[in-house]
Amino acid sequence: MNTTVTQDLSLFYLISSASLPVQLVMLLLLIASLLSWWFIFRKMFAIRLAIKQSDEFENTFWRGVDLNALYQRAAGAREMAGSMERIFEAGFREFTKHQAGMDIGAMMDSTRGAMRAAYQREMDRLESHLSFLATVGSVSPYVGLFGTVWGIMNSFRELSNLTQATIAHVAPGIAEALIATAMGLFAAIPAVIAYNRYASDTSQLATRYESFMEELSNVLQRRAAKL
Amino acid sequence: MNVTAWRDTAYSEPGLFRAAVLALLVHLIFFAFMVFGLSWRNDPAETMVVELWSDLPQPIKPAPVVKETPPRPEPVRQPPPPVKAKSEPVKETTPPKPAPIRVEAPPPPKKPAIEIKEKVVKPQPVKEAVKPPEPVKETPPPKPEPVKEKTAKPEVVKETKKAEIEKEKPVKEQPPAEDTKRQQQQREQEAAAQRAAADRSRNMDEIAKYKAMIQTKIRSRIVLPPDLPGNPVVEFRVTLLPGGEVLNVVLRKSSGYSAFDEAVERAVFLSTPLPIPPDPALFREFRDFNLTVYYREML
Repeated sequence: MNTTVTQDLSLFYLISSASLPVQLVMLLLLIASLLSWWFIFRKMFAIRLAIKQSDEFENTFWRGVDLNALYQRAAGAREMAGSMERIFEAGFREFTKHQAGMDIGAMMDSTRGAMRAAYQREMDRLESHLSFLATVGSVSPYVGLFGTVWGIMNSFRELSNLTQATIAHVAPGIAEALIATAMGLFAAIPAVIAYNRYASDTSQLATRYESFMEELSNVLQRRAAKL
Repeated sequence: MNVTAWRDTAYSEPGLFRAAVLALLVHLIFFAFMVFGLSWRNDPAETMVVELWSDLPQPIKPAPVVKETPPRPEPVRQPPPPVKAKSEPVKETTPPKPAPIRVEAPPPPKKPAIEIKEKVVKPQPVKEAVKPPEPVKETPPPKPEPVKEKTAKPEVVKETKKAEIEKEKPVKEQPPAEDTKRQQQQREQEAAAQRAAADRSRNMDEIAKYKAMIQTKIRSRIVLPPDLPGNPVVEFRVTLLPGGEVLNVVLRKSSGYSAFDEAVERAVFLSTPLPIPPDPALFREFRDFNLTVYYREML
C-alpha cells in the first residue's frame, strides 16, 4: 500500500523501516566496521612507531656504542624501548648472566633462545588484531549480502499479496536491503587493504629483527671468545 | 616481579584513544556523506507538468468571460491580464475564433461610444480595450450561454441585460452631460461588486456540483466488495491533469479493508477522465483534491 509518489527514501527512514534481521545485520556490520577502523588506526600507529624505533636503534647500535651502555639504557627505559631494543636487551641479559670460562656454545645457545623468545613476543604483539582485519575483510561482504538477500526476499513476499504490482512497491524494500551490502563493503574494503598493507609491513619488520638477531649473536660470540 | 613488569610495558600500545576517535570520525564523515551527499528524495516535477498544460485550455475561456460583461474583470480578474495578453497570439493560431470576430468587427456603428466608456472603466491594456468591445454587441448572446447552461442561468442573463442597457444608455445621453456618465460609472461599479459576489457564490456552487458529479461517476464504477461490516470510509488524494485525466491517486486514510481501498482506487482510474469545470480558474480546485468514499452511501 506504499503507493505514495514522493516517498521519503532518506537513510534514516530506510534503516528504521527495515525488518529485524536486516537491522541486526546492519548493527553487526556497523560494529565490525567501527572495530576494524579502530584496529586499522591502532596498527597504523604501532607499526609506524616500530619502524621508527628500529631505525633509531639500528643507527645507534651500528655506530659502535658500548654494548653495556646500550643495555643500561634499554633496561632503564623499558617503556620507551622499541621491539628491536627489547630483543637486544633480552639477549644481552642472558649473555651477561654467564661468567667467563663457561662453554661458549652453550652460552650462545641460551642467548639465542632468549632473543628468539623476545622476538616471538614482539612479533605476536605486532601481528595481534591483524587476523580480525582479515576476518572482517573476508566475511563482512557475505554478511551484508545475507542482509540484502533477506530484505529482498521479504519485499518480494509482500509483493505477492498485491494484485497490481508496480516497481514502487518493491523499490523501497530493495533500497533498504542494499544498504546492508553497502555497509558490508564499507567495512570490508578498508579492512582488506589495511590487512595486506600491515601484513607486508610486519613481515618486513620480522626479517629485520631476524637479521639483527643473527648479527647480534655474531657480535656476542666474538666478545665471548675475547674474554 | 620482574617478569610482570616486563609484560605490562610490552603490551602498552601507542594511540589507543586517538585511534578510537579517528575511527569514529571516519564513520561520521561517511555517514554525513551518505545523508547529505546523496539525494534520497524523488520528487516528480509535478508543478512543471501542470503549468505546461494550464496554458492550453485558457484561450477558449477568457474570450467569453471578457465579452460577457466588460466591467466584471475589474474585481475578480485582475490577475489574469497577462493571460488575456497571452490569449491573443493563441487566437491567431486557432483560425475558427478570430475569424468571426474580425469579420464582425467593422459593421457596428456604435463603436466609438463604447470605446470611450471602456477606456474609462478599465485601466487595462489598450489592446484589450480596443479588441473586446468589438464583439460586445454581436457575441454576448451566443457565447456566454455554453457556460451559463451549467450555472445559475437567470442571474447572469439579467446581468448581461443590465450591462447591455447600461451600455445603450450612454449612447443617447453622452452629448448632454458628463454627470450622468459619472453616475453611470458608480452604478457600474456597484453592479460589478454585486456580480463579483454572485460570481464567488456561483463558483462555490460550481465546485460543489462538479464534486458531486465526480463522486457519482466514481461511485458508479466501484465494484463494492460484499458484506463489509459498518460503514468504512476511505480517503484518497487525487491529482488530475487539466483534461480531467487522473494523474495520480494516493491513499490518505485506509478504510481498514484493503479490498475496499483497492476497489475505490481502481474505480478512480476507471472513471478517467473525470468531469471537471471547463473554467481553468475553477479547475485549480480540482488539480489536487481529496476524495472521500463511504462504503454505504445511503445511511
